Amino acid sequence: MRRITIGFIPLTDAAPLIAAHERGFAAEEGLAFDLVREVSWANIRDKLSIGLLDAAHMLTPLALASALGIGHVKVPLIAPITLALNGNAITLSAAFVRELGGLPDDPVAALPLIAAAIRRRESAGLNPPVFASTFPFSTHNYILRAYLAAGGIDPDRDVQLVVIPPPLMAGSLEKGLIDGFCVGSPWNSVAVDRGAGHILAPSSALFSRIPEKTLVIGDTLAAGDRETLRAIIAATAKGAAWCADPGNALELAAMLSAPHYLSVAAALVLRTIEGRLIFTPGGPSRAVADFIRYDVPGAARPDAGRYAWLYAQIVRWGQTLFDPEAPAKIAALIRTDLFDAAVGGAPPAVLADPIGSILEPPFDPAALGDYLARFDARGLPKLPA
Amino acid sequence: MTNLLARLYATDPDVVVIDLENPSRDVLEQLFQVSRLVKRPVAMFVDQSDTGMINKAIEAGVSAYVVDGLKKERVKSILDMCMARFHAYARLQNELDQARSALEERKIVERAKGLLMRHKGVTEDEAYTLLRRRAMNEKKKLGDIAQAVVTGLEMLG
Repeated sequence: MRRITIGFIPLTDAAPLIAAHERGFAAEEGLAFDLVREVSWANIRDKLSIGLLDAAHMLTPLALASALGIGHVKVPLIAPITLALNGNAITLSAAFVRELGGLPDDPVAALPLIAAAIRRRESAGLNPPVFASTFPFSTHNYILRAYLAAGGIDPDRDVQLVVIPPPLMAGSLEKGLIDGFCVGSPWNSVAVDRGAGHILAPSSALFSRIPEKTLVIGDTLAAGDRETLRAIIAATAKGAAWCADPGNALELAAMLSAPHYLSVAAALVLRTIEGRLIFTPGGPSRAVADFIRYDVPGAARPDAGRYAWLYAQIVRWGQTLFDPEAPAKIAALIRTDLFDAAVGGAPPAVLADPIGSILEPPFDPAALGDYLARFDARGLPKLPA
Repeated sequence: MTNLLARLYATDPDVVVIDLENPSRDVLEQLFQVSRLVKRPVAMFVDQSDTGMINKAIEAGVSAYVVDGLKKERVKSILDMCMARFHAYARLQNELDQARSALEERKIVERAKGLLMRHKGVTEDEAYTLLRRRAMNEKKKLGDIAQAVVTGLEMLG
């Protein structure tokens, strides 16, 4: 049995790795997954970088930034299998919802209400609303920014954006330290169950297919023997396919709720796996299409177009300057050859718009320059001339 | 947590010591991104290690790497060493940046001189004098004037 040390953050999308371990898919491949719970994404990155971890559950934008050396020294890693698509939501505090005068069902219709609240606070000399994401290089940061920007709200000037680790989100909302947040599962539902927050929008209602977390493998293993790499990817893919089967949802929820994994009630975790969300405290549950996707290969096989969209967000929000070499660097990061060798089967059909958003026109990965030209220096959509 | 940045500015610390098991590390990561506090030494205390790991830590910008070293009486001397090494490294980095930009400036001045010689039919010394006089009159750097000349004359063809 080859021992593979894998770091993870307590989130529903760590499920493929946890299932691979608990259901014996890793053992079938001759591996022992040693899952280590970490407290911060920075720890995951640094421990992977110095070799304390062999592999890890990582924010896809962080994997991209680390591989490209954006915001930190370059971390040699590969991201050969995506662990989940979507799974996030934007949640507002109960107090902020009252300030808005209630929440409409359509998240886009809430934007003018938020803009009005910002203006009211400004003229009253009060501090702007504070919204939290989980990391500077996170889908949560980009989803929150894209959403606000679609309503003409400058995320760097009109509101204050902060970073808070996922397990501390609900508590920060409860204490009134923040007015809202964007985070992965199950932490939005935790806030709703505590009566502290209202879900404004599941991320899948805004963007159809954003790669959320990826498995990253450090350079020592990545440069090592192909058989071990194949085995890690195959075991993870089996775990993901098992998680994607609705018949396993109950067992998966019980598995994830364990104290050494998420340490959150199984009934609540089940809602996030099945995409039946309760939006307001005490309210009914509503089915959310594609709330979180684990399917193989559709969700699991890394998609260069989706990565290109994430890269465009890093540029859009001024975290790096555009690099024409980025597509080649993305190809070297996602190494779809490894996924195809380990999982086999026909690759999923390439979609004309890999992302699918109600906030933006269709995304064409081959025209990154045109996409970025639609935004001004602040990252806000340019007004039609 | 949200006023951490204000506190960091107020205290202007010599070194930031972060407990790796504290979830607020990610909060600091963001602060390092939005503020210029990022240039601070990093010390890493670990309880097990091998040579490869130490090399990688140093490549990753860690100034002090201490194995099994979190003993009360040693902490201060380790942090002192960490800061000293960080400042030495920062100075080298600074010198390297300066040397690079000096080299760039020399290259652009050479090109500007060549263009002036061709367009105005002056000697190399005269071209240099023209550039220097203009730089002094406009209180600008020689490199900036040379850059303007290169851009302008190249557009004229």
